Amino acid sequence: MSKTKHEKFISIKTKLLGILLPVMVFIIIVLIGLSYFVSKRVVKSDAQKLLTTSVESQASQIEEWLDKNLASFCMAKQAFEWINLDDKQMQSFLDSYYAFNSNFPGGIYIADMDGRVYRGRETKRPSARAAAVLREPDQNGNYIKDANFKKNGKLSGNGIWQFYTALGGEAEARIQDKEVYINTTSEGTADYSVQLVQPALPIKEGATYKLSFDAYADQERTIKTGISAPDHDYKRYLEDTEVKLSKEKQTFTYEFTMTDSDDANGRLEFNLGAMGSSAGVKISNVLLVKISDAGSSVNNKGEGSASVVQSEWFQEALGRVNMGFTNAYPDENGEQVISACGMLRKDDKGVYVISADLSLDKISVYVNSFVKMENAESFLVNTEDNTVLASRDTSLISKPLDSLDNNFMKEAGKRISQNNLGLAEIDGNISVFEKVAGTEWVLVSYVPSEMVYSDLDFIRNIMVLFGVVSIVILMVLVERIIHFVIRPVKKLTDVIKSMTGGDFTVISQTKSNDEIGIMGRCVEKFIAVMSSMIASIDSVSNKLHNQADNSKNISEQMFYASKEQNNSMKELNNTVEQLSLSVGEIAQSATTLAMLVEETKEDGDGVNSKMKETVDVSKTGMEAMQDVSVAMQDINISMKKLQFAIDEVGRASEEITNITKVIGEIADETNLLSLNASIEAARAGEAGKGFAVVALEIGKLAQTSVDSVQDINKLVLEIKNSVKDVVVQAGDSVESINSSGVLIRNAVEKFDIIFENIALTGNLVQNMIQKVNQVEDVARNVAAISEEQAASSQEILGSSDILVEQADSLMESSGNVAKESEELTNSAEELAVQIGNFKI
Amino acid sequence: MGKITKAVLLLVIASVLLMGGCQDKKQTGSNVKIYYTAVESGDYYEGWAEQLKEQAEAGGAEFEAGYAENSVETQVAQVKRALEEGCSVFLCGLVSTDIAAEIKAAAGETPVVFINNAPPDRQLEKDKYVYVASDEYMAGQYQAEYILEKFASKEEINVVLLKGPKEASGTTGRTEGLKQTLKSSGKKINYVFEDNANWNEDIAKELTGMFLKTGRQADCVVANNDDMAIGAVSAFEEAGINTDSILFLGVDASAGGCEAIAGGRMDFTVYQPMSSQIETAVKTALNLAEGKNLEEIEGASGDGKYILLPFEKVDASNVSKYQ
Repeated sequence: MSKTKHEKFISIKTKLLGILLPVMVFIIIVLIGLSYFVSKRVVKSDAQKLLTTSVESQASQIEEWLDKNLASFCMAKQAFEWINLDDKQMQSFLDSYYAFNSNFPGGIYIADMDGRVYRGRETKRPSARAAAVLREPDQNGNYIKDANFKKNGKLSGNGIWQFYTALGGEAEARIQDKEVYINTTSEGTADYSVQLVQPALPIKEGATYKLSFDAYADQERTIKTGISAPDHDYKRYLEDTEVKLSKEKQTFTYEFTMTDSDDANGRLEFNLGAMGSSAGVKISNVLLVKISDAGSSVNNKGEGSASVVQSEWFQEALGRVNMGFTNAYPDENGEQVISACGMLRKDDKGVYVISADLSLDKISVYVNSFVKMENAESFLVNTEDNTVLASRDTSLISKPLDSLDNNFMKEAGKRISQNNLGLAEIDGNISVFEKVAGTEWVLVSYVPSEMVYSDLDFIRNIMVLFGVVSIVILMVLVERIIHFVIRPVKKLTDVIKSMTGGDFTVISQTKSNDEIGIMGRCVEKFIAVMSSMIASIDSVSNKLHNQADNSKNISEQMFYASKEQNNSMKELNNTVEQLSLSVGEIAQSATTLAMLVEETKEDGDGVNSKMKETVDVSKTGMEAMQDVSVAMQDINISMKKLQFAIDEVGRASEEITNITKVIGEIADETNLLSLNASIEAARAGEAGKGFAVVALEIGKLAQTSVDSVQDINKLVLEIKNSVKDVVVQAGDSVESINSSGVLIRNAVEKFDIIFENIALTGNLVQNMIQKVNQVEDVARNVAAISEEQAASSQEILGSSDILVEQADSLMESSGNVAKESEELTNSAEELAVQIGNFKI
Repeated sequence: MGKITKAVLLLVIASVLLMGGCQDKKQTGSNVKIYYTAVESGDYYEGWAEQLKEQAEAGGAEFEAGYAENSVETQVAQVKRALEEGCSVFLCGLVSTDIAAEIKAAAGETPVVFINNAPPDRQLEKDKYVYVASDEYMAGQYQAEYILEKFASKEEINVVLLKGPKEASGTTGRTEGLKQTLKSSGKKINYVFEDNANWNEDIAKELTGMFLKTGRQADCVVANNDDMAIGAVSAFEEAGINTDSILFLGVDASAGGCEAIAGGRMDFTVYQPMSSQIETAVKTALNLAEGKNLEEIEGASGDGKYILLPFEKVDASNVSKYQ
């Protein structure tokens, strides 16, 4: 229980938020990231398309412009070719083209192979070039009208002289005595808050003008003067100049040169506002005169010169008949021009070249100003030598791209020379190359990628902001929704919590129609069911409690009864045990006695049998001794017989020796006889031969007999010696046998005595054994009786033991019953307490 | 498991059968209808139409031709009418290269194969608006290669260049091929005369005559077509100049050109294989009509916008083959 309590509680809300929020944040981040990358691609491709379109349109404008001019040249050329003109006519023809078109103010010129050039000249007739009609000055050369303020009166926003107040300026201007008096009451916040003006002043391009006027003030102060162009954004032809006025009338003079094109509407201004003083000012005698006109006019280039023939336009013209454009080159005035030139078709043998110069300025305008994309820039490159023809940075013009200290330009040059004119990102610039058709020019337009992406950064920031805001809103929304949805769950949780605490009096009160509502209603039902159930359990447990108390009392009484019985049984048992022990001791003593007697009897029996054996043995020994003595006597007799036999042998061998002696003698004689016989046989000759053999054999036999006799003699001698030894020894044996016989006779006598003693002892033992046998019989009877008694008392003891055991278990059982009934009581009590916990 | 396997198997078999069936249908090509709108009537474009028709019918497609007679309105109207009649792909010889966008709009979703005249690159689209032509650049390149081969020892080459009309795709492509190739050789190339003779022999002759008056020297005369080259040769001959050491180069391998080469008046030309252009144009049209890829077609460019067919070099050694 305590463990679960320590577990962290995480609410459903936290869990839901924990799952939903990261998912939402992830999805929003992914969405924003995706849309960012998509926008990036779109922005980039848009930028590329825009740049491509821009450069295409620029190129086509340049092309168109070139074509337009070329067309006019071709028309002129065709005219020259068709109409055969003499020199004078040609000159006037050329003159007619002079300043005919602002694109080629110098007109058309023609050159021959000798270097003679025919050029147009400025004519007196009004120039077509003058866009603005400039009025003439008065007879004094003064362009200011009513310079001396002839007519008195108050000035307003109309008329020759005009007076204005603006931005808080309050003043009045009045002409009096050929001067204008400006009385300021409030100087306003800008210099033109108080302003005197004369418009419609003709200002000619290139001319130098002088402005002068007389002025003084009521007190020392400053005003401003200048000439502006209201038709051209109030551009200043004469810059605003501060004029320091004193109380004395002074003449002020300023000069300026008109650098812009002619303007018929120059505007002289005197500005008195916001100058730190509102002192009155008087102005008079205003003069604007032209000091000098525009610089020089084009001169004819004179007669034939080699330099003409060597010039770029001439050389190029020799390479074609249809007019085409040369490269850019500086003309004699140092101005960058291109020439349209070609050979004139003439019938005569001479070669004529027609050419016209176009200023590159116009192309520069197309290149520099007609870029349709913000922040994009263009420059025009001549691919023949990779030089810059036109660029906003005028210092680059006529320089080869490779020589520029600019990686972008270098890389662009490389790509142009490789004719690799695809869209590319070079050195952080998105770049587009476009060929200008009909020329060798490539227009390069580029825009820094950063500029393109700056919009993207804005989009990104917006997106991030949007993302953050939507995440926050979603977070709040989801939190609220979850809170609202799971509120019934929270209530239900409280209900269940108090139910867990046993309080069933709570009411869940859920009205929603979803799962949570069903849950709430089920819980309500559950509470109702549980309440009635607990109530019935409570009554049952009360009854149970009473019954348990009763059974507890009964079992306690039973326990005490069995305890007493047990004690009685134990005492009885002790008594029987003591009895049994006494009988046992008696029986044991009797048995011990019987055993002792038996042992004694056995010992006596052993002694008796030993005695008998001993008598038998000694009897046998005595008989053996007597046999020995008889044998001794036999031996003695045998010995005597032996001695006699040996003596006989001695004598016999003597006789043998004698006999052999006789045989020996006979043999010798035989031998002699055989010798004689052999001799006789020899004498007998052939008849005696057989006899000789017999004689020889007989001789040999005799000899052998002699030898045998000798051997026998020897043998007999040996026998004699042996017999002698035997005799000696037999004599010794007889003596020792005689002595042994004496000893044996002594021994036999002794044995006899022993035997008698033993026989006596044997009788004594026999008597004793008979007595012991009688004792044993008595002891045996005693032991048997006491053993029977002991066995009986043992049986009694065993029975009483069983009785005690039974009493013990009875007591234990009744103890258990008591304990259980106590537990039952406890349980009943506990049940009562538990049920008491429920509030119903 | 068994059931699922069976089901999958059935599905696979069914889809294979279905796809097979579809492919069978498409291969017939019987319902492909090609419409050719030509620049104008006349032998040249009618010849094209005739050969295109042969090829288309060989491929099993219907073919119809119309002649716009150099009128933008007529051409657009032709395209619109053909579309209503159920044309499935256009072959278009643009009256003006500037009206490609208009023709595309008139054709709606139907693919267009441009021939004869090149529309601007940005008007082309992979597998939808395709230009089939000879590789003009290659023609100029071949001319330049021939010159460089012949003048390998020269460090400085004086070139007379006679071009077709300004803006014509043949003029710009061939001129660019020539100039770029010569430029990359590193030799000093002087274009002593360069003018548009508008494919015309007489103009070429007149212009060359004017050039000869300037007294400048020429090593070779390069023309964007054979007629102009022949005109230039005539001018040289009339001026009595020995043309032995001067190269005359043209493009097209026209009958006159081949004859001039065979006769030693001209030196080099490149053959524009018209029949293979026609064959490829029809094949491309059929592929587009059937929604097939163009990658398999020979000469298809990497971006899928062009199918450029190679030229063949023709000089005295092989001119007989082309006569």
